[in-house]
Amino acid sequence: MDERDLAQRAAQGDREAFGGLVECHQAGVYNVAYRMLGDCREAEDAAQETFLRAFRAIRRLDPQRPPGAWLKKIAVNVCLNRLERRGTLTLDDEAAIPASDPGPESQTIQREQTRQVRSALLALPPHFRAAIELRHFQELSYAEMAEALNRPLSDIKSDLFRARKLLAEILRKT
Amino acid sequence: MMEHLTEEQLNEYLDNSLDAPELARMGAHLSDCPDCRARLASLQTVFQALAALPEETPSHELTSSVLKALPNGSSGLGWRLAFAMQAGLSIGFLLLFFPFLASRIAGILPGLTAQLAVPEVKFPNPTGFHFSPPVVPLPFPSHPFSLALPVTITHANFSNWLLLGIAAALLFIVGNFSLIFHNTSRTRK
Repeated sequence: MDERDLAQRAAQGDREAFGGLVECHQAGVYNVAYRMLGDCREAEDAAQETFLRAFRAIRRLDPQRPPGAWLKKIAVNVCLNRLERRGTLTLDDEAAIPASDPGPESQTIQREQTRQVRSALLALPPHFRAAIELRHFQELSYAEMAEALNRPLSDIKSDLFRARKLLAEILRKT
Repeated sequence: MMEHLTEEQLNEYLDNSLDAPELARMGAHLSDCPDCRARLASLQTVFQALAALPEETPSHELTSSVLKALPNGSSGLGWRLAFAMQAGLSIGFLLLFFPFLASRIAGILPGLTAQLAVPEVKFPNPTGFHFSPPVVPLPFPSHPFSLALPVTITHANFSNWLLLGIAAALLFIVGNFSLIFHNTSRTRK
C-alpha cells in the first residue's frame, strides 16, 4: 500500500496503518535524531516521541505531501527541543560517538572519517545542527526550512552559512 | 575584477539558489580569483563530508514500541463529535420547548418559583441617579402549539430560567457519563 494511503487511513484512526508508516520511516526518522543528538538510545527515544507527536497531529498532514518529509521535520523539532532542554553538551556528545573498530584499513579510515564528521556536527549549536539537517539531509529550500523551524528566512540562512563555516573549520583541524 | 565574493554568495552558489546572470558573474570571478576558489573548496569539503555520512539502523524495531505507546481509543474525534452533538441536541431541545415549559413550570410550582425568584436589592444611591435595567426580549419563536407567551427576562420568570438551566446541566452531565461509561466498558472488552 502507498504511504499516502497509509497516512490517510492512519488519519481516520487506523492504528495498523500508522504502524505501517512507522515501519516505512523508522530508519529515516532515527537517522535524523542520531545526527542531531549523537546518542543511539536518545535517538530512539526521540524517534518514538516523533511518531507519537505525528499520530496526534496526523489529521493536519496535507495528503498531497509525502509523509516521510513531514515526519522528519517533526523529528528535527523534537531534537531541537531536547537539545535546548539539555543545553549543548558537545563534549559528552562527542564522547558518545563510538570509536572506530579495528578492521581492514580502508574501512577503518572510512569509519574514522564518519566519526569525525558526526563529532563535528555535534559540536554545532542546536539551531545550526537543525539547519544542516534540513538543508543537507532533507534537501529543503531556504523557505521550506524557515517554515519547518518557524523562524525568519534571514535567520535560517545565517544559521546555515555559519554552521557550514564552523564545520569547515572543525573538519580542517581534525 | 569585482570584490571578493561574500559568504552568502558562495553558499547560495553551492545551494543552486542564484539566478543565471548572477551565476555567470560568479563563475567569471571564481576563474580569476584563487582566494575565492579556496573558500569555495573549503565549503565544498563540508558538502562532501555530509553527503558521505552513512545511514545508521536503529538497534531495535521501533514499530511495536510506538504502537504500544499510542494513546488508547481512536483519535478523540469521536468524542468531540459526540460532545458537540449532545450539546447541540440539548440546546435545541431546550429552545424548542422552553415557552411551553416556562408557562407550565410557573403554573405547577408557584411556591417554588416564588422562592427561587431573585429579590430586588436596594442599594444606597448617594448620587440620586436612578437606573432601571432594561427588560431583554429574547428571540425565541412562538411555540408551534400556541401555548407560548412572549418571553422576557424578568424577576418573575427568572426562576424558570434557573430550572431550565439546571435541567440542561443535568441532561448534559447524565449524557456525558453514559458516553464515558459506554466507552470504558467497550475498551475493557
